[in-house]
Amino acid sequence: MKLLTHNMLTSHVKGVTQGYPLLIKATEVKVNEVEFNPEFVVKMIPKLEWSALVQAAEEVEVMEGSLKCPESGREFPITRGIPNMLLNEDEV
Amino acid sequence: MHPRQSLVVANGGLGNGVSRQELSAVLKEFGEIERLVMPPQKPYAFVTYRSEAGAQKAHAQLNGKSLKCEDNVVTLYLSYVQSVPCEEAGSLSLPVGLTLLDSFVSPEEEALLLAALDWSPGNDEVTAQKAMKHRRVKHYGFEFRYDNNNVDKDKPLPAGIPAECLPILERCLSNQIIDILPDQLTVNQYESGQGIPPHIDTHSAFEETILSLSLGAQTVMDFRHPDGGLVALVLPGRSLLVMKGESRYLWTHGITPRKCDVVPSCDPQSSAPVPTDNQTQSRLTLSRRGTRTSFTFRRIRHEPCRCGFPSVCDSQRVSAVPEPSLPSLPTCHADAAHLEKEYVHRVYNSIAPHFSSTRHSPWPRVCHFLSSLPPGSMVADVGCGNGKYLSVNPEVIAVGCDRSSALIQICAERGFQVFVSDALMLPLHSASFDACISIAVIHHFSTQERRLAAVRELVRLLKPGGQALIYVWAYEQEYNKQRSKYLKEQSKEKYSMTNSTSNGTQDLCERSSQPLEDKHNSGENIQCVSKLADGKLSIHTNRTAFKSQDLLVPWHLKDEKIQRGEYSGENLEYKASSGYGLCSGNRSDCNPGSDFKISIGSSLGLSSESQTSPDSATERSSVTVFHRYYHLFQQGELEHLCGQITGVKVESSYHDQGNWCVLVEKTA
Repeated sequence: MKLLTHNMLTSHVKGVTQGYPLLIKATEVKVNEVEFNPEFVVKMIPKLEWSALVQAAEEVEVMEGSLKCPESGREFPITRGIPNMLLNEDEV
Repeated sequence: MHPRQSLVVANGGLGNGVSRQELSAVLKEFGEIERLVMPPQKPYAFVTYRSEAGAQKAHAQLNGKSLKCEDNVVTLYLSYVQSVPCEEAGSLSLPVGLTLLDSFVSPEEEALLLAALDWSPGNDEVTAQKAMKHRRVKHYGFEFRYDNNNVDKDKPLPAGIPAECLPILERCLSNQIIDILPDQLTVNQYESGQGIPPHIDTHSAFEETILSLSLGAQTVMDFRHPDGGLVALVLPGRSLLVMKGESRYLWTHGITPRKCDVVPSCDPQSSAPVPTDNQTQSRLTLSRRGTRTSFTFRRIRHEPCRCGFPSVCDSQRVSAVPEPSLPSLPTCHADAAHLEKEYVHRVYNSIAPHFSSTRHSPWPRVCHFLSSLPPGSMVADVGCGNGKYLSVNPEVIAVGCDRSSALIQICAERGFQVFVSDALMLPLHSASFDACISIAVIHHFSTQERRLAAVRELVRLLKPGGQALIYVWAYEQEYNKQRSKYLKEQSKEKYSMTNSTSNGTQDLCERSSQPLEDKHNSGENIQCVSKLADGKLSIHTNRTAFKSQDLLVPWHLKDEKIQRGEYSGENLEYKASSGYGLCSGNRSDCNPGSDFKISIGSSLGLSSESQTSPDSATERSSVTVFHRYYHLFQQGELEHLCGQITGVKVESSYHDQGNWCVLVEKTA
């Protein structure tokens, strides 16, 4: 999960009103050295939630860990770089 | 632990081909090491020095420096870490019935056995010698045929089991490892980089106890349980592996083709005491493979197998398991969720690699919609499948999600930004996307309320003025006197009855599958019911006009053996589009009772579904059939659905090759 994806995700736990940003608990992090693309960055800047992105760098990719709802504490696992945001049947 | 003593060593991992010895030797130059943790398959390691000074020196002098390993050169990057992960030690319990006996033969016996093999070309017929793609094979006593995964029990080979083997077999007899001498021997020779796909030795061909003697170099064999459990076992040279019970009948075993294995370290220099909870983690290293030769001794079975694992037993599977009753159309949310779990989610997870291989041509009008978006647009692909739309427009910021973790895994491997989630509850901000697409998704929801909720979620994501494009499968496969390509392929489908691969323009029309529990492989499609008897869903016959709006559409998961025949062209296409190396292997590499689909990543019990039955020569009985639930939309239904949401305007709607499509805009 790149940090740009994290920027878009929010908690959808039932009843939660302050579900953003999801707290990152990383046990495995991958640092990619990517080419700087000025045009891409210019287009992304107005769309980012900056207070969330401030907490991490753009080139970081979380490979293993979890995302935690800041209000309910519900954790969503990240495995092999993929967040699993499914809720259980009793949570919906 | 002081935070300044531990470092992560990027590129210095087992996954990069760096062994413990090689890394440890260079790290020791800077100070005394307290612990070196090398996680399996990972491209990094963690080192903890006894002193802060050691870590400082290593960081200062080693960061950015090259490390020359036996096979390659890597550049090391070091960073301080607060703590070193203490992953739980994996369960090391062996599969039930599996025994490994070290040093079962002496080095002299080993040399004698290897010398008894004659790999020269003149021996082809006597010992049924073959060169597989990933190994060399010889058979004694009886030839194992890889075309039907069985033996011809009335055709023994001229060469019986070599005399050099008899003392070892006698020892097994006297040690009560076996109670009757084997009469079949398969010799596999693997060079470094070679392996054998996961398989279960055919139940109907061989008796219970199977002996596998490993000679030469050690290797790692993977055992996999149908429920996904995995045990990686180091097979040292001269060891004897005894497989009985579950390990013989239920678990698959295989050797991944690679040149190195991650094995426990036996470094005597690592004498510092470490916590037992991560002892396995911090004592792993690489083992480069050499040439391994295995002697697999088996006894031919002359009666049907009556083991306790009918789900994977070819003697029992054909007749014993009754066909499950068909589900009813749900009337409440809980029933709908259950139906979709069984007839959509489990199915897509099971068929994901095959399904993905048939999904490579995007719908042109979807591409046009995506390409017309302004650069920098935020796009959500809800139900992105294998991600074929996520790369259409590189100028937009696209994120995808799907309910199927197996399909999402395919997306991630292609480098897309994706996550697993349910289309009814999306963890994305409201009013933050310029555009959304939902292609071939909403027709899998089994009640009108859930289909409405799915559209509502899409609209929630849109900014005012944002647009969503929705495609669903149409009940009307003939529109304006034009038959869709789905129907036009009918004659071809009748010929290649179980063919499900085709060019991408028939994407939505290829889909069909049945629940995993269903053991039947043939005749089902003939059950074409015109209406819901007792409210039960009927099974659709592929490539025919729909006869009801709610039904189960078959998906035929083919056995590789079948594709090899007259459908070689299509099989080549399948191989070409598949991202799985094992899938592109030679079909004759399949071992006794092997399930090729397992080898491409599935651990959902497919080995019990699609094993080739020796009793049936027909094509249909070698195919696993899944069923997927579909709601076929009638003309105007999708527009009416969208119209129930306030603040939404239907910009346009059209029929596109058997799909009803709407473009909606969020007005408020």
